[in-house]
Amino acid sequence: MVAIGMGAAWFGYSVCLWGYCMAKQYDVSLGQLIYPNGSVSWPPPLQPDQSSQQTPQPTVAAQYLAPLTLIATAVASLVGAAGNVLGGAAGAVQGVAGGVSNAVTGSIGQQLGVAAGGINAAGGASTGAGIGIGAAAGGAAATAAQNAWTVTNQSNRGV
Amino acid sequence: MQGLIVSWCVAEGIVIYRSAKERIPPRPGQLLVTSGAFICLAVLAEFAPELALMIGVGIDVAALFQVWPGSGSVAPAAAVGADIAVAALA
Repeated sequence: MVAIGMGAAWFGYSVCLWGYCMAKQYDVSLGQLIYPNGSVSWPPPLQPDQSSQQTPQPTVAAQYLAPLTLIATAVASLVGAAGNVLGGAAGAVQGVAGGVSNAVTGSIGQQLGVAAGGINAAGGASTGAGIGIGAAAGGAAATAAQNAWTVTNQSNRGV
Repeated sequence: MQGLIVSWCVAEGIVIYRSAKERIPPRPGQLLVTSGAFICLAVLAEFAPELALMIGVGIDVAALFQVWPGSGSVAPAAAVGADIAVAALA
């Protein structure tokens, strides 16, 4: 019984130490720990996948560029919204001007109808143009910001 | 039998103390020879307790004078150097 207890104590300690090494991601096997003449330095080296694969840390430029990218995206959205509003307002003004000029030159009854049509047509066209211009501006700004972020991220990864 | 257990604890304690002094855990390979010897002595003690105890005390003395396998300073140079570097940085 005493001999079995001594052996169990030694084997338990060996397994516990091996488990500790596994928990600490050390690259050492149970045989290397048990082998009497083994030259296992302490602490043992880390496992290769843990030591080689490291998360790339963003550089200072990337850290400053990340909020700038968000700001550029927000500005692009605002530019698009402003384009929509301005385009719609300009179309309405042009429609009113067209309606007024037609009212001056034609009969009252016909002029009212033409003016209403002019307002609708011009307003719709200008609104569409404003939406298009705003969307194009916003898209270009967002694309430029995305390209800048991609280049910086690739440079951090060493690509 | 109790004397043999005390002798086993003393021998293991010497090995563990020398490793702990160098700030590394005692490797099972260091303790293997001592544990194996005392396991054999425990079997021997079933038939000749006095002889087993005498051999056990002899192993303790050998471990004390670092002539018993695994009882000496076996810290690798890299580990000692790493400890010195960590102590210098701390």
